[in-house]
Amino acid sequence: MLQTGAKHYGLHLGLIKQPSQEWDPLINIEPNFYFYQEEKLSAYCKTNSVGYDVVMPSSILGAVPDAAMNAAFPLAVYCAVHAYLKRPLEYPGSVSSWQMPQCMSSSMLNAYLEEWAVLAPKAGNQRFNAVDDSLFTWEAAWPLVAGWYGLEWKGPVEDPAAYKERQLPHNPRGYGDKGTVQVRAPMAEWAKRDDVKAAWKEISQQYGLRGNGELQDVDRVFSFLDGSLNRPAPILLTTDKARKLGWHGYVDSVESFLEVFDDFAKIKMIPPVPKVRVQFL
Amino acid sequence: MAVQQVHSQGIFHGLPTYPDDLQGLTAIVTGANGISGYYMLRVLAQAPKRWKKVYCLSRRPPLIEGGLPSNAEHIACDFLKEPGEIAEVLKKNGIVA
Repeated sequence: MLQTGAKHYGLHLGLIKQPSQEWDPLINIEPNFYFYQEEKLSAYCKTNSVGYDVVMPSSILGAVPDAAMNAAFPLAVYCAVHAYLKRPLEYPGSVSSWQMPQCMSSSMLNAYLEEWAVLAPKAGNQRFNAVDDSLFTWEAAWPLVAGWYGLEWKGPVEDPAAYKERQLPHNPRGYGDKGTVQVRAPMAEWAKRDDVKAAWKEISQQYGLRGNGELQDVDRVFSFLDGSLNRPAPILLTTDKARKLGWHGYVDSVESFLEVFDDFAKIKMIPPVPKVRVQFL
Repeated sequence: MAVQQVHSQGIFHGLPTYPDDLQGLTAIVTGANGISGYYMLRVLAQAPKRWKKVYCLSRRPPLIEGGLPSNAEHIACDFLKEPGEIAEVLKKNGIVA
């Protein structure tokens, strides 16, 4: 079982074909170590007459102390600080990003899928997308997240002049314009603000959190969230293939976010989630 | 007509069910401390009859409240070492899956 991810589809390079399907041709604009791993694994398995699967999640939702890429943790910090400072939860992204559909991949569900892929007789020697199968946009989720913290919320700022525009480096889909990303308020900059740092120090002390009151690796940790909050294009990974073979796993991505926040609180990485208003479909 | 049984576990729905006679399996989970490996360990720990043994290979043992699940065992292993060294670790600990 080799877990790679949605970068298999080249979404980190620019605009890609929509939706992402397991049979899509490989994007070779830049070297991708996923392809190298798959090649090695495939050759080994052929030689040793054993099967393998490749599973590709999108943005992984999970609570562990250290992860190279974790969207939920910086978001939880953002919420906790806004609750502490009694400020409305302001969405930093653009109008178009607000509505951009993006698949989330709860780590627990990914693991259930991976167990299934290994055990289900017809699921051998395949690539599978791993997603919650729950349509997700920040437009729908943001107000709910704000509600957990008892906060009012503010949607995207509409004035285009408030945004810096950056063109994406490549065009994997091979037609049309290269996409652009509009950024108004990078999360890493937010996390370095004096009022934010002071608030986090207070919160950490009050709740006995890890990390000595200081946010670690701020650039890496917080800029990863930007990738989700400032989306130039949808992230849509299909589940057609897995479903036809008998996989029907599902979780409400927003419900999953709350469970992950709770798990972060349990391991003392964020303060407990107040859960002022909690409602799911 | 193909009929399938699915179940829910907390907020997760439509999960597969496996035949009772699917038992005694062994798994190796790498990066059991990481955002994916940790949840893999949790899922396999939910079915200790099916997954009799789960080897967790990582430099540091997984930090789990209450300790590792009963069907799991941590073996310290650094994947940045040479393949020969990694193989030695596996052999020395009798890891077969």
